[in-house]
Amino acid sequence: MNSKTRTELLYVVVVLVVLMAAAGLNIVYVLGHESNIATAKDPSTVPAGSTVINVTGYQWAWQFTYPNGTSSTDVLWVHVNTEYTFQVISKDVIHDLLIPALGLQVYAVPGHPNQVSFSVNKVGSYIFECVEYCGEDHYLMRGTMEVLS
Amino acid sequence: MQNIEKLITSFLIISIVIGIVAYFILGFLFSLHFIGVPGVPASQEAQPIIATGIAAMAFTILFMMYPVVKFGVKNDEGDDFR
Ligand SMILES: [Cu+2]
Repeated sequence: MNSKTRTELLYVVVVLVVLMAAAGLNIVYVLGHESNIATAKDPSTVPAGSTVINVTGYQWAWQFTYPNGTSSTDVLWVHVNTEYTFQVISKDVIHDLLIPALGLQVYAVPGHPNQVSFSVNKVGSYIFECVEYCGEDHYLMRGTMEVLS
Repeated sequence: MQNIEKLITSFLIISIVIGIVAYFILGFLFSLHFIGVPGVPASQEAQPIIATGIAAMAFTILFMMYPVVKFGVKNDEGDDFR
């Protein structure tokens, strides 16, 4: 084997090692991925001890209804270190609720409630917004999540 | 090893170091941004994947650009393939 062949082989091997390492990590990631992802609403899959908050998206605001019957618009009140479950529905067109600080995103679809669980471990005020263009005042569908101790 | 082989091996080592550094920088930045479930566990899962991507990017840039920068025609006549 002359030195040119060896160099060529080394090129191939080095590139293959990098690509295989990337592919291997991706497979581990995809197979082991069990983070909370929004699914169709199903009361039997609500985690035990989780507080259900009903979320309604409409043109152009978000309404949150809590278990005690009270509700708030464009502001979400939650407690720190408590597990909550959103059940999200839309009154008119498709909306999409995103809370960037939680990495939480769930579609609000008319006639198809979605469900997702989350909890917050830091007191503060965080933004949420609609990230599915839904009409002329789409930009108004935003608010803050207030995390109380 | 020949020079060219040493060079490529050093590209690999440099990109692995960049990937490891990127892993820790990403961890720090994610810890500033994410404040709960699912953000924190999801970002911890994504951290090595993104770091690998950054390392692959570093390797590709070194691998592709080095010969061009080193041996490319540096006069300003005609088309410059850089
Ligand atoms: Cu909307």
